[in-house]
Amino acid sequence: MHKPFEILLIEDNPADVEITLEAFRRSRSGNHVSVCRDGEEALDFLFQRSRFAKAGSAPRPDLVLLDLNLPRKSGIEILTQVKAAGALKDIPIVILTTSDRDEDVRHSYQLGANSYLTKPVQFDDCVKLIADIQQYWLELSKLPPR
Amino acid sequence: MVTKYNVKVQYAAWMVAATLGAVVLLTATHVIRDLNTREATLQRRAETMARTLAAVAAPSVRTANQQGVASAVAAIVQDEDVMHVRILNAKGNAIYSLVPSKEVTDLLMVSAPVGPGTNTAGMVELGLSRAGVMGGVLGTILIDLVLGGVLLAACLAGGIFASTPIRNSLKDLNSYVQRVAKGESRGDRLESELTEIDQVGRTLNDVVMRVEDGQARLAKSQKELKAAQKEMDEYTYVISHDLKEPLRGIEAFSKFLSDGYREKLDDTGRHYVDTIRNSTLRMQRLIGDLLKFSRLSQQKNPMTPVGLNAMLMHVRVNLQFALDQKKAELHVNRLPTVICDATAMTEVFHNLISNAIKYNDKTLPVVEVGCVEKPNPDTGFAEYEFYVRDNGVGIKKDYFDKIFVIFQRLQRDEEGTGIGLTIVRRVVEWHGGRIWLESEENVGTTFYFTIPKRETTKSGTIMELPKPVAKQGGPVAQTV
Repeated sequence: MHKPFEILLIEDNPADVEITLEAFRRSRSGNHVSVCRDGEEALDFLFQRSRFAKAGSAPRPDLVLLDLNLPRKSGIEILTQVKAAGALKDIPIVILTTSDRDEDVRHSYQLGANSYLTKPVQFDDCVKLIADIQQYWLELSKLPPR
Repeated sequence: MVTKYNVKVQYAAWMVAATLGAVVLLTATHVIRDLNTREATLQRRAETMARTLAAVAAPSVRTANQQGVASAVAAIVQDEDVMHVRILNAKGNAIYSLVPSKEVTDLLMVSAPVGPGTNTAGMVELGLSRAGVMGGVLGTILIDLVLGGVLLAACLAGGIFASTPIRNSLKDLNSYVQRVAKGESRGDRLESELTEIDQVGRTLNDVVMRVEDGQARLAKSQKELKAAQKEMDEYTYVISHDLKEPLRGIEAFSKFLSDGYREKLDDTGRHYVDTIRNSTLRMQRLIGDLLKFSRLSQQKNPMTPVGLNAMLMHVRVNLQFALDQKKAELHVNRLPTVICDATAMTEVFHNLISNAIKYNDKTLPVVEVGCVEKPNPDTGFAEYEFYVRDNGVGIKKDYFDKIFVIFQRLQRDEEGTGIGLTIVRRVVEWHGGRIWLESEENVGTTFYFTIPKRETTKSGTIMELPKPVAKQGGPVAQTV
């Protein structure tokens, strides 16, 4: 086990960021969560470039939680670029968004998303979801070797 | 029943009748004239002959010379039409008589005095046969009839020939009208060499254009209406979706406040936080229902045959908690299998039954669901009329229409959002049905709604138009 795992949360809404981080805290998983608040920042982080070029400033995530509605670069664009990059395409990407539109779901999976989840309204459900995500993706699933 | 003829027969018949009449009239006139002329000619000839004979035979008559009279007769009377010759002396005795032995009836009789002047010595009497006249007239009739026949044939041929353009134009008109009826006349106009039919074609074309214009306008506004409806649904979806975003924050942070800071607040502060929590919960329900409403409107599932009794069992399971809580009974009569959107129809029954349980203050709330097959009062097509009956609080007549309007509620309660019946009506209406209710306060309410009875063909496709039924409605079945 490589605990703690590196998780990247790509989410622009500050309230949602805080809620998700609080949910992570309450899950007591001990995993490390980095947050990117817009699409471009997220790409820089993932590709370890511009302000994340310095070694160690952007650890390679074991799991990405990706919102679809982001400023500057959309979640779909991030998904496309990450899944096209040989070095990053094996990172599981879980879409965590408000949209439950069929076309968003279908499009995400077509582009290689590994899971698609909608954000629960109730905070308690949110805590449970975050715990479940970590359990399934980081403990039950066998991840690609680092 | 009107006897029908085609134009050709009509034309021919009228031509024959008219020509025949004209020929008969002309022939008759001609024959009468011919008869008169021949009669007059015969008369003149007879009179001339009589006068000549009287003059020639006069000396012999005076002298009573019979030999002389006879030779005078022989000299003058050589006409073979003369059948009767008598010459009388002054005393009136016949001194010469040549009378046909058997009675010849049709003779033209003339006489001339044996002159000179008033000194009458006797009388010459001649009788000429009319046979020649009759023969001549017969010949005339024959010629007339032959000519009449020729004329008749010519007119008949002419009539048929003259009817051809009319017949052709009518044929064109007929095929044009048939194309109009089938809706295939687009763009082409009926043109005819006959001005009347051409006029008809022009008028028809105007009618077609107007109908097509109307149809196009109707199609356009239907399309616009559909687009507007779709936009509205999408709008509802987006709005309610976007509302969810800040709501999640309010929900979470009010919870953080309530969980982590309760002790630090005084009673008023705690009350405020609790009120925020309750309002948030209510907002969540509203948005959830609104989303459900817009999703039901947007994502229509395929129409499939659905056994409603099985569906009602699921509905019962979902409502079991509410039923137990109110100690309510739900009676479901035998229901048919109908072709519908299963998800949407579940929503209809769920909402109606849930309301029936919720708005009930009796010690034993009873909800009954049943169905009757009936012909539609307007179209006569078969439809199922469902009812959901309760013994609940009832609804004032003034509110009958209001309850179907979105967000309209009659009671302040924590759970209701005022969308349930709007969903019910929407689903019923898009299935082609109607919904109404009967209610009495403190006695109960019965909601009725209809679903057209659709048939599936052998290939499995669903007929849009249900078959009309003749029989009157009766209960489909008894209580199960």
